[in-house]
Amino acid sequence: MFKRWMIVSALWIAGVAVADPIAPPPAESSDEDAPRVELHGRALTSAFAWIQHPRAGRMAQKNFSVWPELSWSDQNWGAKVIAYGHVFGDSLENPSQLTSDAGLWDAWVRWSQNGLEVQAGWLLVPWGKSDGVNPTDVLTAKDFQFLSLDDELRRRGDWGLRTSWTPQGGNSPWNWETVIQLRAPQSQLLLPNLNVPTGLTLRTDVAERSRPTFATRLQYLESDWDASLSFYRGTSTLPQFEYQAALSRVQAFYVGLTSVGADFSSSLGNSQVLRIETAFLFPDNGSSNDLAFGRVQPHHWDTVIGLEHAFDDSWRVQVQALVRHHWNFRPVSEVRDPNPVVTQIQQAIARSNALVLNFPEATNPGGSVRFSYDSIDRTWNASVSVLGYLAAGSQFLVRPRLAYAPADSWKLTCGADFYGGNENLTLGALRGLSTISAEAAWFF
Amino acid sequence: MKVTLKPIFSWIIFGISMASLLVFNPSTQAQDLSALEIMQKNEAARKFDSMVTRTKLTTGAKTKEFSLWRKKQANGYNRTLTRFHSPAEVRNEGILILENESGRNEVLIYLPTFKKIRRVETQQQSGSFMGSAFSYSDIATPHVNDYTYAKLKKEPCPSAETAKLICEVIEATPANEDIRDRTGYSKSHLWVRPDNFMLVQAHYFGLDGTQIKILKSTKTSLLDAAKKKWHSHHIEMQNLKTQETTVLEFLKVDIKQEISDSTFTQQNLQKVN
Repeated sequence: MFKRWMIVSALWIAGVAVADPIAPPPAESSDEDAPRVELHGRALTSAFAWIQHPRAGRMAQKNFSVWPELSWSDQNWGAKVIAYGHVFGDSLENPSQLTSDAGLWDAWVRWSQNGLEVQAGWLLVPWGKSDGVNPTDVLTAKDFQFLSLDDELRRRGDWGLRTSWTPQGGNSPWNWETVIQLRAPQSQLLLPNLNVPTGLTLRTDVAERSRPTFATRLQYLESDWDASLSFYRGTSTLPQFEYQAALSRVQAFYVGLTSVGADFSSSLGNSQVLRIETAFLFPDNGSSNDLAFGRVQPHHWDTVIGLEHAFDDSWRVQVQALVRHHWNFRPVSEVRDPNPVVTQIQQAIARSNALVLNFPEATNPGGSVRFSYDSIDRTWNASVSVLGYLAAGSQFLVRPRLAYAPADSWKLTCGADFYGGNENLTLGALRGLSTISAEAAWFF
Repeated sequence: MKVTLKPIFSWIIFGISMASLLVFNPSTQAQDLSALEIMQKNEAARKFDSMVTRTKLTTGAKTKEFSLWRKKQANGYNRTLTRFHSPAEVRNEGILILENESGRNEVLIYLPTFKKIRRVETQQQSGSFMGSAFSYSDIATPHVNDYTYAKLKKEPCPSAETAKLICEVIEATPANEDIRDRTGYSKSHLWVRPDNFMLVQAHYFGLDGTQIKILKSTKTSLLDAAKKKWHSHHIEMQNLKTQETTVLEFLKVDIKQEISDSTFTQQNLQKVN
């Protein structure tokens, strides 16, 4: 604990030290190629309060967080370290306790020349073009237990090596990217109340069966459209639950995953942008021949088709159709074992996995809409996002946000996450975790 | 001989002077040219083969600094990359502007927080460039063939540094609907200097015909004497709707730096430290 405090304090002091308002300006343009070291980052304090009975009004999370960023670049070389440090007054894991957490967020060394780029370190590699829901985004995890008004701050990476090659010395529209990670990043879930049968323990903190990750993507990037094909073989960043009879427990596993994906984006007319993202995902134990079939998520196909439309300089809307289809699907009621007690347990496991990974039926159609407003001077920003699915009933998340930037380096944001719908479905089950929130952020 | 030579020399000198005035008098030069020819000379004077600048964008108390790389393509259209240095919230944000002959420029923004590139719709390109009174289209350079031109009048150039010059006021109208939609201007009135054909002032009119912006260019200097290339280092844009004024200041301009074509690719746009 003391060590973490020391790290957080050091990060904060480093942040304050570089925020000197009379610090000299950055190097001039002709010196763009000259080596330079810069220290930047963001610090924020935020508070999240429960809004659903019976915890309404109590704090879900109070935190002070800092992301100091140290970067260095030379002509062919570059390096960056972004760390994070949190001090929590309340957190989902430890309500009403003062705790802290610190670690690497994005840290790497890069070398590039003539269209070839090699990057090694703690990597965050988000893939996909659609808005918020990205079937091809299999390389980064998210810590959903860290509440944040900015979803991107929840991302978690891991150690890896990334190469990117653009032929013709960087001039070709083709680009080939490869990522190798020793271990896949692991998401921490905002778990709804899982109905684990009485007498069993639920272990969500142990990751096993993780294997090295290999991912590759071929992109074609033209000025008015772009497309990519991707392949991934590694471990899912989302856990699934399995019953371990010998230990009388339900265990969370990050299982092996293979996926093939594609995305596309293009301008459409004068005021629209079309984005399509699709992926076939094959969890190792998801085939219909597997002993776990019916209890875990089967092989499936995820697709997002979205259109972004700008009404004018300030108002815009993004509409997306979402489809998740499992071509071999076994309903929970058909999961059986010769032992009726085990059948009960296995069905409970199947229900939990369907709840956590959102596959209540063979096909789960859904959609998302996001309206946003930006004042012309970019001082005010307001948005409302709605995400919903329709299989086996309705479930939804409504996410309003209002941000005000009184100065270039300050931003005040308030918002809410309202989960609702059928309580046996993913977003409906999270109803009790709905929050309202406020945040003050300082960029230095 | 001395007596007879003097008046002859005087007449020769007088003749040369008059000829010089007729040939080199800037007012006379511009007067003989059509509106299109004046704007072609304007484009020739302001467009560089390549350019790297350090630029400051100030709107009220808010200041943003960015580097700009611009390169003229074989078709005469520019490619521009901007990379923001400050304030911290937009640091490393990059904007790639790819002009093309169709009039529908492509604008791509790299958002470092998301580590993703977003396309900007054509219509949105008339929107504010980073919260300033300039639009993305204002930052992209206008191409002479994108407009039709008509001479309106001549009047003293409206700035202290050009007060002794008589400017040609030219009306520029978008050549097609795509350019109208992209720029958000139905027409513009341009005050062009007679000596170097550089812009001194511009009035921009919205799609409903009302005047919406005023641009003033000052601190114009000759950067390349051999090619007669000029650059305005201080450009002020006033948005008449919001009453906000933004000053675009070029702190440093380098027109000799070689820029690789790979600078203007999506791969390079997202390559930041």
